[in-house]
Amino acid sequence: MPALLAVHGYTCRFGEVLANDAVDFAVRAGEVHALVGENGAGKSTLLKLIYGVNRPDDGTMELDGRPAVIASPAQARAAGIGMVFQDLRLVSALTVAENIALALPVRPDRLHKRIVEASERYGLAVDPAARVGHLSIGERQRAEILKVLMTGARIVILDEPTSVLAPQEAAALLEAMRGLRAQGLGVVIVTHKLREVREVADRVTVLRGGKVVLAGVDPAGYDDPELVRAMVGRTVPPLPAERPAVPENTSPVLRVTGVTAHGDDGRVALKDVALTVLPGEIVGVAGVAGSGQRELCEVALGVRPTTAGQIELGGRPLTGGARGALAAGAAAVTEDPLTDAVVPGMSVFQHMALGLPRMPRRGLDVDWRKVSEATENLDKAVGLGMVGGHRILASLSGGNIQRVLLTRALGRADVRLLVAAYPSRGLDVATTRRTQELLLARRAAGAGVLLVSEDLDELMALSDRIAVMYDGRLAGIVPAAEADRQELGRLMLGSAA
Amino acid sequence: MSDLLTDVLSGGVRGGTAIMLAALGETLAERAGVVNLGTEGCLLVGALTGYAVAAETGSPWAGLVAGALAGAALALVHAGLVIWRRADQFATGLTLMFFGLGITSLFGVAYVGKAAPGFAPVEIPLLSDVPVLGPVLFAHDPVTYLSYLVAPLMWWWLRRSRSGLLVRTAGERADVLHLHGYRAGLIRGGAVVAGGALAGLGGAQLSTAYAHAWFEGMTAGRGFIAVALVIFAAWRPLRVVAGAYLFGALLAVAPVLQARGHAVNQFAMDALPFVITLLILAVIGRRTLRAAPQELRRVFESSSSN
Repeated sequence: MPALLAVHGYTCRFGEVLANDAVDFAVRAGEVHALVGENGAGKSTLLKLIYGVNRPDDGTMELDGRPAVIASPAQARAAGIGMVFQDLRLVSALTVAENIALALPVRPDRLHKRIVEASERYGLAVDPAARVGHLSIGERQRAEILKVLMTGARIVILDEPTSVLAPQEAAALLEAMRGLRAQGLGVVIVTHKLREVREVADRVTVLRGGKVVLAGVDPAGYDDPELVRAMVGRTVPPLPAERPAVPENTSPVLRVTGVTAHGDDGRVALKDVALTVLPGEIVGVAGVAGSGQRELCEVALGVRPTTAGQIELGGRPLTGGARGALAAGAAAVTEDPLTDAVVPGMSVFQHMALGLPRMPRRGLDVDWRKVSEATENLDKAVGLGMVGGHRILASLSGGNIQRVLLTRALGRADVRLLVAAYPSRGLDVATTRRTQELLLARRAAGAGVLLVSEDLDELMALSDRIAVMYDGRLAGIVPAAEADRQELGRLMLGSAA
Repeated sequence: MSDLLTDVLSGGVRGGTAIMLAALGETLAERAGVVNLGTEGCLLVGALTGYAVAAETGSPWAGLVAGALAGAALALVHAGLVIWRRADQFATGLTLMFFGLGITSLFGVAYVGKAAPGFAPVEIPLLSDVPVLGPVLFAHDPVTYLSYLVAPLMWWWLRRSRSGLLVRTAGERADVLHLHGYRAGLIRGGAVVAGGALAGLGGAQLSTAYAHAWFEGMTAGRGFIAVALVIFAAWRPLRVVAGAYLFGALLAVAPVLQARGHAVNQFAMDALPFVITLLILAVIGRRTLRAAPQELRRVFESSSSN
C-alpha cells in the first residue's frame, strides 16, 4: 500500500541557509511517525512545505502514490492534511462548536451532535458548548485536533503538542494519538522528547542541519544516547550529579510572603503566594502555562505591582521597582524576551548598559568604554559566544538574542537572585547544556535561583526544590530529590493529594 | 410626580432611539474589530439627508432610507481608509465626525426652519392604555417601534448565524479567519458600513420623528455618547438598549421640566449626559474591558505604543 503522503528530495533555501536539504519523509496509514531534531534542524521548515505555507525549491510530493503539488494551506486541507499548530488557532471568546464551525460550512448550533459523535469516536473528550477561553490547554488541544479531524484530515500533524501540557494531559494526548492510529489515520508528532518517541512512535525520522540523519526507522532499534547523537551530532555528557549542599540557616535572598497580584488582563494572577529562595539554592517553578509563573517572576523583579503581601530581596523589603531589584542584586532572563527584555532598535552594548546595576557615567553621558569592557568580561565569563556589541538586536536571530540576555544575566558575579524563565527556550542542545551549567555555577557561587520551566526533566535535574503553581496559587513545594512526575502532574492540574 | 416620571421615561425612549441605533451600529463595527469615532458624523448626515429627502419627496419613509444610505456612505469612507489604507482608526474617525458636521452645515442651510413631512406618534390601541408602560413604550412614532426590533435581531444574529460568527471572529482573531480562507477586511468593512447605516437611520429618526426639524449640529454629541455606551454595555446589544434609554431620559429631563414652567439651566442640563458618560467610563472596571473584542485591544495597544 502506498504511503498516504511522501516527499522526496525536498529542498528549501532561506538566503544562504539550506533549511531542508534533499529531505525524504513519508507517512503511512495507521502509523505514528515521530519527527525529531533540535531547534533549527529543519522540522518547522519541512512542516511548512508539507502544509503549503512555503514552496520547496526542489523535490516532489506524492499523495496515495500519485504525484501532487500543494501550494497553499487550503490545498493541503483539501488533500486531507491537517495541522495542529503549537500556538493553537482557536478563538478564545468563541465556543468549541463555533470554532469548529469556522472550518466547516455549517451553523454552529447544528454541530453539537456531530462534535459529540466525533469526540467519542476518536476518544477526544470536549464539551462543544464550552467557551475555549475557559478550557485548559489540554482541552483546547483536543478541540483543535477534533476540528482538524472533522474537516476530513487523513494525516494529522502535531507540532510539539506536549510541550505545554502537564504529564497526565500529555499521556492522555499520546493515548488519543494511538486511537487515531487505530482508525487508520497517519499521525506525525514533532517532538524533541525521546520518552514520547518511545511511547508512541512506530517510526522516527531525525533531522539535523536540514538533512535526514535517520530516515523512518523503528526507534526500538536505537538506544537513547544513539538517538541523541543523531540529533546533536555528538554525545552530550550528563550534568554533574555532585553539587554542594544548600547552606542551612542562611537568610533567604528572596522571600515572598502572602503576595497577591493582577495579571495583564486584570484577573487575579497570583493568590496569596509564599515562597523563599535561599542563597545557593535553585527553586524550580512548574505549572501548566499561565498558572502565574510569569507574574511570580515579575513581582520578584519589581516589575509588577502587588495588591497584598511583602517581597524581600536580600533581607530588605523591595522598593524602587525594577531598578530597586537590580540594585539589590537581581538579574533576569524573562519569559518572552522579545517583548519583555528587548528594545529591537538598540545595540547589544545599550542592552548591557541598561542591565547593569549602576550605569557607568562619564559626565552626563554613559561611559561606553566601561560598558564595552563590562560586556567583554561578561561574555568571557559566560562563554556562550555572544555576537558583537554594536549590532542592534532586531538584526539578531532568536537564539542570538537569547544568548545576549543569558550573558547579561548569568555573567555578573554580584548577582544574588537570578530569575530565569524558560532559559533554554529556542536554544540548541549544546547551548542549553552550557546554560544549565551556568545556572549551577551561579548556585555554587551562592546565588539563589528561581527557575521557571515547562520541561519537568530540566526542573528535576537542576532544582533543589520544585514549587508547583496552579491557578495563581502555590499548589505545593517538593524537594526535587523526592519529586515524582505523577505527583508533580497532579499538583499542576490542581487535583490536590 | 408619576406624570413627570412618565414624561421623562417616554421622552427617554423617543429621544434615546437615535442613541440606541447609533450605539448598535457601533457595537456591530466594534464586534468586527473596528472603532468608528465618526458615529456622530454618521448621525448628522443621516439626520440632514433624512430630513431633506423627506422634504423634497414628501415621504418620510424615503427620508428614512436615504438617511441610512448616507450614514452607510460615510462609514464606507471610514472602512476604506482604516481597513484598506491602514489609516489610524481614531484620527480617521474624528476627522469624519468633523467632516460630517461641516458638510451638513454647508448643505443644511436651506433646510433650517423649513417644514418637512415627518412621523407622527401612533398610539397602539390597548397597549398604550396600560399605566406608565403604555405612554412610555407604546405612544411613539413608527420608527421608534421599528427600532425595538433591532437589538433583539442583532443579538440573535451575532449569536446564532454563521455570518454573525464570522463578524465576531473578525473582532477576535482575524488571523484565524484568514486561516480558514475568509477575508477579514471584507467582513469588517461590511460590519462598519452596516453600522453606519444604523447610525444614519438613528439620525433620520432624530430629525423626522423626534425634533421635526433640521438645525446645525442637532445631534449634540449623541454619537459620542453612543461610542461610550458600547463600552458601558460590554459590546452586548441588549445592554445597549437599556443604556440608550437611560441617556435619552437624561436628555429629556430639561425639556420636560421647562414645559412645566420650571426654570432650568439649559447649559447644565446639556452637560449632564456627558458628565454621566465620564463617570461611567471612570468606574467601568477591568471586568467590563475584558469583554472587549481581542482585535480592538490590539488596536488600542498598538496605538498607545507607537
